[in-house]
Amino acid sequence: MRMSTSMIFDRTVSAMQSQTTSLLHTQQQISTGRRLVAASDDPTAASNILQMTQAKEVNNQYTSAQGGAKTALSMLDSQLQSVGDLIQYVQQRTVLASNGTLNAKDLSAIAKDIQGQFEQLTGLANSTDGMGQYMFAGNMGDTKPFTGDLSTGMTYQGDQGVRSVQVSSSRQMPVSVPGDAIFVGHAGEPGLFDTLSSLVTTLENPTGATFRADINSALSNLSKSLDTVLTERAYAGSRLNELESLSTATESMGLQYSQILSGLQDTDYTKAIADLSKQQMALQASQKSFLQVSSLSLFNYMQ
Amino acid sequence: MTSLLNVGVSGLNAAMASMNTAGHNISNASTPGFTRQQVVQSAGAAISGGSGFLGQGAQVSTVQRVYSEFLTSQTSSARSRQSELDAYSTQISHIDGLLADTEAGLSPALQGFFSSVQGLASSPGSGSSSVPTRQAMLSGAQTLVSRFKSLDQMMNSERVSVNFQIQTSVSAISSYAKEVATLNGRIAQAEAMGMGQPANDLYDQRDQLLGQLSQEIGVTTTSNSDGSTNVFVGNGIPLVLGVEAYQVKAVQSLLEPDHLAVSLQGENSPAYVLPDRQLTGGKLGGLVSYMSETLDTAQNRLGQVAVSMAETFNTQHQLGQDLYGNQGQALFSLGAIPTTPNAANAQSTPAGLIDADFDSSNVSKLTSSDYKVTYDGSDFQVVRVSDQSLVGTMNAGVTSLSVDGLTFHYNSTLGSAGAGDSFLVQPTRTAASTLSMAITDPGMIAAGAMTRTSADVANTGRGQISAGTLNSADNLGSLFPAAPGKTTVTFGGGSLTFGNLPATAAIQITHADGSVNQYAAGTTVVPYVSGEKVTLAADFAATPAGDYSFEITGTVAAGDKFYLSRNTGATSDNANALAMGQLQTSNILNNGKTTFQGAYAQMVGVVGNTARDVSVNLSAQTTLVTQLETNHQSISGVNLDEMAANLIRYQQAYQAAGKLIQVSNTLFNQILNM
Repeated sequence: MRMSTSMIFDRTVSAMQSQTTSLLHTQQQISTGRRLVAASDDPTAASNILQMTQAKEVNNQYTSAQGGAKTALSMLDSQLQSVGDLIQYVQQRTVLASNGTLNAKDLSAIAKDIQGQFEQLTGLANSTDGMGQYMFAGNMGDTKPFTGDLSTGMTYQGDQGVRSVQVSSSRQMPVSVPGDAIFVGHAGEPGLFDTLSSLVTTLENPTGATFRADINSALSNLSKSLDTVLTERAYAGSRLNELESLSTATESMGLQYSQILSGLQDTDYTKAIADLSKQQMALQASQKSFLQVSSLSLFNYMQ
Repeated sequence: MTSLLNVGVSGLNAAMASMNTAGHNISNASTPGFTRQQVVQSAGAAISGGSGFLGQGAQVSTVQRVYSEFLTSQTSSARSRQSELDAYSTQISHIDGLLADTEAGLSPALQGFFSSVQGLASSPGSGSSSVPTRQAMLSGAQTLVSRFKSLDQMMNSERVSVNFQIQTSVSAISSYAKEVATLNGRIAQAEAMGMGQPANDLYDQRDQLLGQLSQEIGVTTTSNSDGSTNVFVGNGIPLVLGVEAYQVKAVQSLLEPDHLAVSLQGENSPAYVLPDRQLTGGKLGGLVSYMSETLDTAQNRLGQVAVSMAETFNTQHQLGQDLYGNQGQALFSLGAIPTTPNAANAQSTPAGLIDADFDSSNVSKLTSSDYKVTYDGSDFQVVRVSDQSLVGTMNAGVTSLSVDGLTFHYNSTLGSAGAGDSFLVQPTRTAASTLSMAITDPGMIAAGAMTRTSADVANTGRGQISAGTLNSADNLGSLFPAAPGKTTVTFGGGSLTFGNLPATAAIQITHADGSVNQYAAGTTVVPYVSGEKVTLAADFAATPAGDYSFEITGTVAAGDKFYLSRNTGATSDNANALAMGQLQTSNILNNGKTTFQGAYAQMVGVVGNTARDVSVNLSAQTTLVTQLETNHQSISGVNLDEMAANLIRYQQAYQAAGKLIQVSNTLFNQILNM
């Protein structure tokens, strides 16, 4: 076949250009660490990467939501523990008051003590979380949930809202408990505040006819309140356990997403470096052979 | 002896002509479009003598191009297609690289926004550490809006750049056409003067021009007897007829304001606007099909994601309550849908006769297509451009049409249209650029629910009331009068008695088996079993019903009371923030089949696939062009070694012919010396 001289040049140049292009593509894969330089390199993978990135990001959101839920529940648990301790202390003092050996002065001292506990309980019921929001006001975080005092009794100002956190795709976990579920009596029974304030009244009047009966009823109401607190604590504890297992699952999902993403988008360095050497060698060979071929001309021999 | 001298001279001339031609070939070895020439040499007419015919030496019949018309036209049309694919591939690589970029695409901004929504859900209140989460959500939304805008901006610059290149290409076509016409004239003139000998170098020049022309647009040619050639584009539409070149201009498309069209005008014919389908091949063909196949589609799809996101978020946001206790407002705003009257419409047809807006309750039906509304003399026919299907009609009796997540309006009060008038409605084309934030106050983010439920503390049963779901904000006022209004729901052992229920509210009970009982507004006592769903609405027939629903579960004792009311003071409620967060993984677009991210990923996949197809076709076409060029060059190209050999050969022939003259001189002297 006839070859035209310009063809020899043109073809070699275009061959070297396409070699340079693939060399650069491989070099780009190596320097960015990404297998896909553009979506067209592998459109299906490019589309999958975007979907998988979202799955991974959502999973990360669950991880941080779980962290937040754990903080909220731990804080709730520790507040409830303080309330429980307080009830148990009041129970001890009430038992002491009920054994019949104490005189009016001693009982009055206990009454003062329980009055102090009432104040402390008010503090606990009106405590705020790390963000300055009242913990036991339901969804009314800006409203002080319990107002009043020992003589007027305490009124609940919050609502029955329970805040939930999206801790997995299918689970919204409640992380708060409204104050009226802990401190306010239900179905006609006295709440914890009521119990304490009537106990103080009882202890200040030890000669009353219903003294013993009132003490006994206070003990029974205290134990009901303690049950409520312990039930809420157990519920908080079970959710903390659930969070542990959720976080293990979320972590392993995250790992899996990372692996899938890595497989889809990361450069296989072994292959890329092997490709690079191969392409480099081919380009060098083209360049050398071009120099040799292009120097061949009959005109060189015409004198 | 004279005859020997003449024979020698003829050989000398012939060798000289061949050496000249070899020199011409050598000099033009790298001239683009040059075709190797060769001397056609023949034996001179012989003189008849008694002893037979005596040869009279050589003569040069002609100088011809070594040329294959078939290969030339094949190479030219293959290069035209290559140039088309190359233009397409170059353009699409701009958006292909950007869309999938994990940093620069939509994806990171979308993820960032939803993370900020989750952040808000974890800390929605007004406390000192909650303001940052509210501010973060606003910033997240603003970043997303900016990203939509910048992607759209990038596509608009692409559009400007493509339109500029179309103009450049059209003016190149125009000037090539003129030059071809001029050369047609010169060839005819030269050949008439050269007594029918071919004007080789002019032919080369014209072939070269036709090659360049076909790299701009696909052409076909026919030859005339005077050596001139006619050039046609598309399906036989004349561009050059002999010495007449048609005027080629880039003009604004009649229908699509952001597109350019090509018009052709001859000396004696009116201007004719070529339909896009006639613009095939060459750079122009590549640019035009890139614009309509890829750029329009990508920009519309991006707009579709923007509209769906804005509308869905706004709907959810309006179901919530902000930090000030007010009902949430729209979070995002979108510009009006661009509607363009066809430039060929009747003068009297008002521009705003047809318009459209988004139907926010059917946002999942939104497509990425444009719509063409054409008046046929009695009805406005609404056609979805993507599949050319008729989706509905409007006329004097039916002045609006809700379809595909859009509502079209025929504003008949403005005037009327002439038969054949049309309007182009592009719902999603500019959406990504007109998207903006509608609120700037972090306190106006509606993180909480509008309503709350509660159980009376005196209840003796263990029944619980669900938080209650407001499904549409439309009738909020009529179902939940402003605080301190409170509806009391009392369980009566087998019924519910509603106290203080707004007079307009009707009740519906959904039983465990799915069956439904509806009671007219005014009914306040309805049969009820614990666990059944209670729905309140002002009008169950309306769409959306504007309803509200709740359930009472567990062991309810007779006389137990529950309350429904506005969610006054609930500043740390995160119910609506959680609902907004769930939109991330909800299948909303394309009839509820795809998430926002999914729709974006599909668009990236479509662009990537097209880019890949074009690139694969381009490399196949390049191989074909190389092959054809090799074939063409193997016939018409100059090989310098061959020319060196030819030079040596004709030099020897020249020397030999010179020897003949010397011999004839020697013979003549010999006679003189006798």
